[in-house]
Amino acid sequence: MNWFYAKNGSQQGPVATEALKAMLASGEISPSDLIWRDGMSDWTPAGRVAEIASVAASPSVEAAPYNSPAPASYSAPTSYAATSSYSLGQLPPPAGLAIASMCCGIASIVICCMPYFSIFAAIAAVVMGHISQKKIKANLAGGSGMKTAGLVTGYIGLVLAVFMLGAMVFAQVNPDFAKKMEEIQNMQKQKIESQQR
Amino acid sequence: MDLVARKPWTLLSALLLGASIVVWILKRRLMNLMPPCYFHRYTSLHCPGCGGRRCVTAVGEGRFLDALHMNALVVLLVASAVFLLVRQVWREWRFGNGGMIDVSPRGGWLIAWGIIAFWVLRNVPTWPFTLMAPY
Repeated sequence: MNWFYAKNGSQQGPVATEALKAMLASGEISPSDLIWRDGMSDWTPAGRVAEIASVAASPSVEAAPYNSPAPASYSAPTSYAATSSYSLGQLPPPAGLAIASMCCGIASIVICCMPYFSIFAAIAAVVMGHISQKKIKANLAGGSGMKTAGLVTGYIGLVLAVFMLGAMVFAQVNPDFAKKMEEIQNMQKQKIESQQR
Repeated sequence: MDLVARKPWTLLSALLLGASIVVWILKRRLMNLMPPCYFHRYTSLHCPGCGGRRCVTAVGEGRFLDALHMNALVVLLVASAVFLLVRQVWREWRFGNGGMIDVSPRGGWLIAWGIIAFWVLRNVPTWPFTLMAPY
């Protein structure tokens, strides 16, 4: 059986079952370190995995990693997988919302010329960013870096989208403006087509 | 269905690949649906996405330097996304799960500031910043 374990915020392994048991016994892995093998639904503290934990008899297994007291200092992250809220040796919990927020935020900026789409992306980024922020504060989810990126880009995208939509509405109301827009649109199309020849 | 649950990254990559192929085939028709860039009109400045379509076209034709000139940010984003997807799919098949993706808080701010910086700098009308503005 191939096991993976988390050490210093990064994924290690694979190691065989016996090797992992030995690491637990020698203290190289602590009962609160997260481990995983194919077939498990999620990473679990070593002390709670029956096949491995028969070795660890210490009662300190009770401590749930997500409830451990938050470290007072912000440790400057050096590895790709490190976050500030969790002590060394623990992987951050899933950060799906934060990832989605960041993707939507970046998308909303890059697609800003199509405000009908980008406004939805921007709103999604901001909403998901705030929800994931609450979860991160409650220590239920990770990904604070991505949440930040998502929120900032989401707000920027939102401003851009509102600006564009406002201009479009203005074009409807003011026909001269609409004419100018069409001219520009044709010019841009011609430019692009001439480059493609 | 079990495959979907156990290999989500592969599924995602397959879907994106399919979508890209469809867009590539429908390229001309989609171009006609594009509105003008209002940001550019009002401010004659380039928004962060400006040149993105021309950039993708250039990549499709193999003109990578032109693509970078059009919109280096889009090139960077797409390259990172492709790299990430490939890595996750590889991990899924080799190890059974894709592993965590995470970005440190410092990384998060770097991404946000990077995009803002790109937006500001590409509008500076002197060389070398003009290298970031599309023609």
